[in-house]
Amino acid sequence: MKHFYQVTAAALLLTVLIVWFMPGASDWVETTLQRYVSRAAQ
Amino acid sequence: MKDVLRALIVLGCLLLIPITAVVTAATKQRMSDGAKAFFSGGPLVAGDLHTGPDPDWGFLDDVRTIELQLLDPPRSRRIWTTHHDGKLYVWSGYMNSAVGKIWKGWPGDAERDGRAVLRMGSKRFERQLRRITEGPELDGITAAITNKYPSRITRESVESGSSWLFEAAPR
Repeated sequence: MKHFYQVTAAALLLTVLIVWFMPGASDWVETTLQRYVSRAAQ
Repeated sequence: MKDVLRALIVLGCLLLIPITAVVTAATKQRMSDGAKAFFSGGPLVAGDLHTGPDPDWGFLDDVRTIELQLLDPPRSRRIWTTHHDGKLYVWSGYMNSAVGKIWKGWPGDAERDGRAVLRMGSKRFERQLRRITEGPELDGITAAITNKYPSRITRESVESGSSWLFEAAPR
């Protein structure tokens, strides 16, 4: 289980770095979330 | 029992990844000059401040979204806009739905303090948002909106509070 937590922590750090620095990544997250929320709001 | 607990922990850890992605994207946008789509952006900084009389808003017919920033709180978002009889309007739908009540915070903020900045292209306009809930002009305004966008706004939705409509008047 300890190894799993380490992998999870690394995945979270990688997620932050990708969303923050990779061009277009934050836009993709935003539009995907918007699609789900808009559907739920209707 | 131990296996169930372990499965829940794994599921929780996996869910943390998309949650982290959303929080990171939202934080990044909040620190930016303006908004892109869903997340609120920071204050509108770039762009010349318009002075003098209002322009002919006809150019907005070809503009899909504009940026709106309230002075309090100083956050921006992208919204639809239209014009009617020389006046500028913005609105928000889903106001009576549960998700809308959580998602759409700015109309309540604008009703409390309507001072706003709109950015269209490279120009910023200081405006005062005034909520409209009734009146003979509603038919013309809602027609202008539905002619431009796939919106469900109607006189009835405005009067019932399902859609909140604001005139963006000069300040």
